[in-house]
Amino acid sequence: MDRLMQYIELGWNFIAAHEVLRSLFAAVCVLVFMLGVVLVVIWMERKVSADIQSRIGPIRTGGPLGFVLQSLADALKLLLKEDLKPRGADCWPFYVAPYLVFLPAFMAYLILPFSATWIPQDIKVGILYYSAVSSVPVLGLAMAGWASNNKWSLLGGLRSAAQLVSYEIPLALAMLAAVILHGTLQTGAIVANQWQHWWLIIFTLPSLAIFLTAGMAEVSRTPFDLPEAESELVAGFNTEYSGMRFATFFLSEFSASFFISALAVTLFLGGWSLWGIDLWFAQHVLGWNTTAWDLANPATIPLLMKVFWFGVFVVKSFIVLWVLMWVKWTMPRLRIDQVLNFGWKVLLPIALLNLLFVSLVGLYVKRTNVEPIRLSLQQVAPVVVMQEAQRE
Amino acid sequence: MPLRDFRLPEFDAPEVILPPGELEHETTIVNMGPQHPSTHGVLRLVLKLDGETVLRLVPVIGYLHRGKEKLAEQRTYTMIIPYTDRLDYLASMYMNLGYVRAVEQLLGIETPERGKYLRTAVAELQRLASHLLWLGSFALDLGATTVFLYTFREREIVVDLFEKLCGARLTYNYMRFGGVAADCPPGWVDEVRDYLDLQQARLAEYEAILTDNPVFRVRTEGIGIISAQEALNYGLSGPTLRGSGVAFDVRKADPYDAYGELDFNVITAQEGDCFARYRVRMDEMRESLNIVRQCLPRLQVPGEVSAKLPRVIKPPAGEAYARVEAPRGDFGVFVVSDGSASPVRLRFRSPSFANLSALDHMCRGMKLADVVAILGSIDIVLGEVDR
Amino acid sequence: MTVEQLRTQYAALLKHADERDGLWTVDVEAAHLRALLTALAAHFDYPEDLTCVDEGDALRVLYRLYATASGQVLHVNVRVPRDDAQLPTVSDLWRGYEWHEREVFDLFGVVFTEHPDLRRILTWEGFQGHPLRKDFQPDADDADWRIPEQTDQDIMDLLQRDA
Repeated sequence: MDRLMQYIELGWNFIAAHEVLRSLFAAVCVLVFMLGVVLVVIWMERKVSADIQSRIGPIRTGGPLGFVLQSLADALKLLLKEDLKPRGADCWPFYVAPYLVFLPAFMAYLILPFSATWIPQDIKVGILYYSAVSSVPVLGLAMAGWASNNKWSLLGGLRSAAQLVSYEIPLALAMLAAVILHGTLQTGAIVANQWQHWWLIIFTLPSLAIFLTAGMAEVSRTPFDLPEAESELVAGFNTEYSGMRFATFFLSEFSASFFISALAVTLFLGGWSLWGIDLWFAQHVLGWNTTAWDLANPATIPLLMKVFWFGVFVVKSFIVLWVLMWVKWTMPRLRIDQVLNFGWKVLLPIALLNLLFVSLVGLYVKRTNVEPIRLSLQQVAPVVVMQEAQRE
Repeated sequence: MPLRDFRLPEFDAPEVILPPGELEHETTIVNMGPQHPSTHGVLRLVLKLDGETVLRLVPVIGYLHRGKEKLAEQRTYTMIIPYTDRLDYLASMYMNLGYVRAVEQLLGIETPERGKYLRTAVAELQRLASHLLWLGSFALDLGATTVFLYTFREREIVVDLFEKLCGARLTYNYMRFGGVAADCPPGWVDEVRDYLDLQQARLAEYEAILTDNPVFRVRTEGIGIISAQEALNYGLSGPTLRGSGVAFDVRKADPYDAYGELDFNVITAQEGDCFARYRVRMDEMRESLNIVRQCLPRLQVPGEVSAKLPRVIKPPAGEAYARVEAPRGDFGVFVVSDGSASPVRLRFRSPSFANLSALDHMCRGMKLADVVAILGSIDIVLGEVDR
Repeated sequence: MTVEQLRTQYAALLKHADERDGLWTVDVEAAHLRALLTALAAHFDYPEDLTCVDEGDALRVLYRLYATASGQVLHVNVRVPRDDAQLPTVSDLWRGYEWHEREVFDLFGVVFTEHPDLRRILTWEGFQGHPLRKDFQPDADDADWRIPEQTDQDIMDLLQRDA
């Protein structure tokens, strides 16, 4: 047994020592987490909708483990189905599109601070990275719509292009509010700052509303589910997809929904922290010496605490996701022009006003314990742009 | 008298004028249906679109044409009743009733008092069931899936009540010449009363989720407007006509069965848009509850439910036209008899057919998504359109 | 308006007019149909029904009109010969008759001249014969009921015409 532990530790040290291996390991962990979460999210979506609609929902598959096995069975069924390509479809865009949608959805997960020190890639420009990554799926959706050789798909693809591009701006502005308030683009640091200054949440609540609204549009959930509006466009961009490719679209959609909730939690709802209550609890009830804890040095924090924080993060994310589902199952769908009008003429001005408000607040908030954003020229190109923006 | 001297003004559907601009507008022709989630069966619409704006719409029907009118010429009068069930299969009772009333006119027979009230109560329950299904599918067309499940939950109760009455749940074959096939079983009236109370409360629930929902409002208000004059000229009927402010209701205009003795209002709305049609149907459901409630005391009085008739029905030569106010509008039946056991000509005037003919007019200049909303709001049943 | 007024006012156009149980029935020659209905269109604003009966020697086309103001119902009967069934359209007076005329054309073979879009409506493009005529033979040996390859040429023409 000891021998085994030794080997594990050895391996772990080896992985940790090599940046590439560490990244790979983190990526695999994230992928596993994401797939696991999606299984639960799909089951949850079905159960929540059933609850709202006074039905029971799936009960047969898996018994008590149904929350995982049900979706697993669905996925298996889709996997075994024939992968059809319509005649006249543009071959390689048709095949590539699902993965072009899936990949960014997965890449976004890398910046999520799952727990105090569990951040797959704690890049300094995490939020900027997400903004960049989140614009890629548009391409995939438009490609899927175009390549299907189906007018409904094309309309769906065009709709999603218009919608996603429009809502990226309010989404980014809402995120910017959090960035201004906490003075960093690093997701881990944003959460840490919220952990220490729990009262900042008062100022970020309007941003949260904007973020969730734009986020719903970004992941195409009702009332913004126009790209695949079933009653109008048959199934929109994924009309012609079947089998595993369809499942990939499905997967990315659900993982994106979870991601939006998780990012909302990270930016506005204190992430993995319980706004300091967790610290108080550890200090006074468990009697741990929290003064020695240092976020920069993971070894100082007990594993149990990290797991607890991870749990908090997941639970919070699921609560936000539940709100999204609640909205989805009670709202009708907007029309495409109404969606775009709302995005540009309502949400964008509100987001700008909110940004102004948060900036004014930010002026008066004393930023203690926050590391100023230090950027060096060795880092990636977008950072330089940010630096320029900072100077101005 | 010169021809074409009388023309109603402004009757050509508004021509859609595209905004001038440097962008070149290219139109697309899109085929919607017959396999499409929102065409309510096998309707096919050929749409000419500019982006998502509808320039012109051509409905193609006939995919469900079963030649009922031709079939009827080979069948005896009684054998035709189940055929009528399959016209508007969401309101079979009315289809039965319309046909039966036309033949009754030919035969010159009267329904006993109890039979009349039973027919009226059953018909109004059928209207409730039909409107509930409409509400659910209309909301579904707009993307609100939840209401559909709610309305089906209540529709199920009505269907159960009908099952107790005649053994069938969709195609009832319940009306007979001079009455109905069977009296209601004991305890049925109380069950209906319980249902009415429940439904009254549930209607408020649907309204809570839809009527004041801003998304629902922007999707329905000002969409698919048709004026009173246009609606009349197109021969629209039912809630689609009353939503444009014309108080034409066969139950008032030409009372049949027990309607003459009952107290109820004709619901209208002025706007002529999808929301007006929604409001009319919602209030009509309340009015139906009210009508059934008025019928119930009379159903507790025992009596005959059907007139005595010979086994083989041979109406005297002649013709008769009967109409009833079906959930979708004015359902007319025209029978021509030559004195033999089967009709020479049987014609069904289906409200959905006329209502559907105005779809192009209502949809021009609207968005693609509105087509679905408008189609949902005029509530067609293809079984009746195609016959 | 009473049936007497109707009778005197349009004496030149009517062949026969009577009233039974509140239903006015009017017989008219095909040549006068258009003129009569044009005159009546202002009063009878609701085109309730339009149908046809095969009477063996002739086809009887029945226009059922309703006046929403007075609640009056009018049946206008017009007989056309089987082999040359032609009537002027009234779909410009009542738009609701546009589809009804198509249906009567489809099922009875009555041609409505100047109809804007006289296509088959319930049966398919390329269907042979008019099924509600009494002499229609659905089980004729040489009948070919296969649905032709869908071209939709007529619909496309219609859409192009408006462009």
